[in-house]
Amino acid sequence: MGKNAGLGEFEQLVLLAILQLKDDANAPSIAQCLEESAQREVSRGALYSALDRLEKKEFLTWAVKATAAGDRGHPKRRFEVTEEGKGVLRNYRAALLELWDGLEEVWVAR
Amino acid sequence: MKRPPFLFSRFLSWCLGDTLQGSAVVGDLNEEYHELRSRGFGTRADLWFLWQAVAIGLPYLAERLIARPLVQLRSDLRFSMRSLLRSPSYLGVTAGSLILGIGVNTAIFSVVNGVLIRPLPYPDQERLIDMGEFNPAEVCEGCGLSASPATFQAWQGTVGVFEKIGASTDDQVTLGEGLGRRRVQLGNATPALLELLGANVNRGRLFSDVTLIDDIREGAVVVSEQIWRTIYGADPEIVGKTILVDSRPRNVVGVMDPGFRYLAGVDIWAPLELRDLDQHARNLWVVALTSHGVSSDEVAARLASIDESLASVDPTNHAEWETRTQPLREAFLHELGPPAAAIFLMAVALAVLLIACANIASVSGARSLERMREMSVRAALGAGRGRLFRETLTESIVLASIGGVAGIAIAYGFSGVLETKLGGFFPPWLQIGVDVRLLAFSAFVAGLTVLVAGLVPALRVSRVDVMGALRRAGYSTSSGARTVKWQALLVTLQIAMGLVLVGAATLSVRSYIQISRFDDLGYNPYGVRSVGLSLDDDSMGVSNRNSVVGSASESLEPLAAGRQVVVEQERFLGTFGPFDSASPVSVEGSESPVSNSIVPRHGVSVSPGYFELLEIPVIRGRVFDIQDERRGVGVVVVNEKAASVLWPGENALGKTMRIADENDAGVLTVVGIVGDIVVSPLQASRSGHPRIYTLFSQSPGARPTLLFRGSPGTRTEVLEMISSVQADLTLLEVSSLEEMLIRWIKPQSVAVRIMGGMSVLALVLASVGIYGMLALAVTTRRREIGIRIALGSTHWGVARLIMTRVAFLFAVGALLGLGGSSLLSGLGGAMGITLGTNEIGTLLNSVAILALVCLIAAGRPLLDAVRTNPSLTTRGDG
Repeated sequence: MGKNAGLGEFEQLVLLAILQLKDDANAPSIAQCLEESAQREVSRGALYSALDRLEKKEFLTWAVKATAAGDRGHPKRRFEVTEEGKGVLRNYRAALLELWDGLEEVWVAR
Repeated sequence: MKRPPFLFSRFLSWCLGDTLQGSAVVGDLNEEYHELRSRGFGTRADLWFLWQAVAIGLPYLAERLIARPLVQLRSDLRFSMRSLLRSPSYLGVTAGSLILGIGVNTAIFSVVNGVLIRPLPYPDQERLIDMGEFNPAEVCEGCGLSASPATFQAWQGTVGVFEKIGASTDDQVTLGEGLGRRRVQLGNATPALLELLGANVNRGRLFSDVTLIDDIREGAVVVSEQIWRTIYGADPEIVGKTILVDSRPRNVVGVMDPGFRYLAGVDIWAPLELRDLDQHARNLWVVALTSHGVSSDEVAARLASIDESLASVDPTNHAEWETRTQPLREAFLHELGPPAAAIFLMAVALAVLLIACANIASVSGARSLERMREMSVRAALGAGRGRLFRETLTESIVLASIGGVAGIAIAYGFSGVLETKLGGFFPPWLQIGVDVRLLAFSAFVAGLTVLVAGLVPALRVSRVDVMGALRRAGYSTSSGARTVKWQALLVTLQIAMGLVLVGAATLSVRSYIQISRFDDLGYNPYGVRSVGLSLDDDSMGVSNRNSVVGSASESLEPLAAGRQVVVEQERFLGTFGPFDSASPVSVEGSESPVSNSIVPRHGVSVSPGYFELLEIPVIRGRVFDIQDERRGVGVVVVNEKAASVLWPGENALGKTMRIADENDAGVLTVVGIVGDIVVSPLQASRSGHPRIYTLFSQSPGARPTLLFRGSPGTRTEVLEMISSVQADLTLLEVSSLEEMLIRWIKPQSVAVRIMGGMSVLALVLASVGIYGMLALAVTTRRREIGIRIALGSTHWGVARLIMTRVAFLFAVGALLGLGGSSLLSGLGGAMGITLGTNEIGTLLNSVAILALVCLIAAGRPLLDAVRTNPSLTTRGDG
């Protein structure tokens, strides 16, 4: 599915958060990261749906992290962006930069 | 430490299911909940958890309840299709059986639906009643209820009981002028009638009570959509134009919507002018819409009081008459005849379906045994029973869906064929087509089929004994006692049902042969041509009419090759349709007219040569001759039945009589007695009716039919031949008596073909099913056969064992089938249909065919089993 699948705005944010969090990318920390950077409440329903979608699109993968006492023993998933996910993010970034090019008066004014 | 809200935590776990991912999500959410609580959020943390649990859980739940089953269904469907396509013979037999079974049922149900279930095409149809006057002394068999204008107007004055009440009559009129003129049907109706029947126009307007006086004065008419298209080329400017009806200009005010169905074949509608009619002639058809909440008792009471007041004011015309009402639907059904035929066909169709179901059950049973090894392997590899059950059932659903869709398609085609072949025979209110009820019926039948034919194999497959089946696989899925009983029941049922259906078809073919035999009607219709004419001027005097008709007869002589052309009043033999113009006759020595329930009509007026042409035998005296016409003395010929009714035990020759409404004829002397004839080939008892023949030249009437034996002649030829008198005549129909009789029995011939088709179908289906079931029953005993032979049984001994059982099943089935057929023939006998040697031969042939099928079905695998080395069959390799 990966190659032709598109990427929504929220999905982009989720992938970027996972990349930012590196080894610490589990669902609660992704939610926290998004809430801090986007300054808005993130519905866990929307987050888990986005994670499932991204997994189906093969843009991310997960593995169960060894549990520690602090984690109260429940299996914890650590998410990682796949090469395909990184590729699609790069493409989006390039497209955005190209589109922003020459529009200084817009982003400068902001 | 406080736990998250229990209910919502459970809900989330339930939605996510028992998976690693599910546990991880629940754990994450719990962790966040505790984090919130540790930061001092109490109730807010609970609310947050509650909200998030619902937000996460619902999408998973939707997936579990909707998306996943859909995917599963798709995969089951794909699997079923693949599995069905892998066994084309199985697919062919089952789908074919189902298509035929459901198709035949849906098609026949479309007729039953139209006749008995579908509401009439009128608004408020349940409140519509048919009304008329009834006199026990003047019973007219086959006539509908009718009323006189005087009575109708009394009913119109009733307040409260009826919301609306309307009346109509019909007549034939000449439309147009010159060579382009043609006879068409005119319907006269009151505005209330059109309104209560929900009539509508495509363009222009209908008559209304407001415009009625002007409409009558200006001769307003509404033309039918058919006339508008065929005669006026769908002229968009038709409204406002003037057309000639009976040489009188009439003003077209509208085009009737083709969806309006009331009187058959009406081409032009005109407002009914009650003042122009004989106030006491009972020939108005009255329909009323009863008011809301008024019971039939209240209606009857009100009408009885009107009867009384009419009888006290005008006893001469009303004393003997009382009002009768019946729901409009009942009146229509009464006209159509008994619904028994439709129900009989439905029963036959259901029997075909039953055979188809038995077929599928037996073939599916065989297949499930064949697939037992595959199922066992899959079960051993972890496929759940539910999954195996679902897959087998899905196969049946796929098959039933194919059958259902094909059934609806067949019903569509069938109703189209019926419409084309028999459209003219249907009353206008009868709609045969596909509607919601039909779709529901088809779905019901398909569902029933799945239940009957699909559930048993599905259950059998889902109960597969993995180890046992794998151990025995391929050679000895020996049938259990229950299976054997099922097989025996199915085989017996199929033989019995097949034979009953053949019996039913034979009976219907026999009844058709009886009605299609035109050689015992009392006259010889073969080779007699008929040319129907109508005088344009109804009021033309008898002598003028005689000269016009005489000229027409002479001009047709070339077609008759010099032989005589005779005349008969009205169409062929004068008695099509109800006897609505019965004329009472009075005989010598009797004061009161003989009731028209005995002599339904004064008969028919004919010209000399008529009896010779139709080869009606003269019993006593003589028939009409040219001298009678010249002498001008009133003479009459009666048939034997009329002679025995009018002058019982006496010699009717020389007796005199008078016929009311024929004053010109004065006293008529009986000069001859002729043989009885049967007019309708459908008449259940062919005893014939009393008939009185008068001389055409002495009787009134403007619808002569010319009869002759000779070359057919086309309509154009006939038109050219009678061109000299065309100014006074309209040519109605050029036909032959045989064609008319064949047309008369056409619905029966179509029904017989349907019955014949269904019985052949039933026989084929039954044969296929019996073959499959018996072959399977013997094949599953291969191991047993091998063991018996190994233990010393002879081939003959084994064959006798197997074949005795098959013979027993066949005998029981055949006896049941023949018993059912004889019951049917008993019913047929009560209706005057007796089976001849040919029909009994057909039935015995069917028994022989089924016996042969049984013999081959059991014999082939049996031969195969006894020929194989017992060491192979007992091991399971054979």
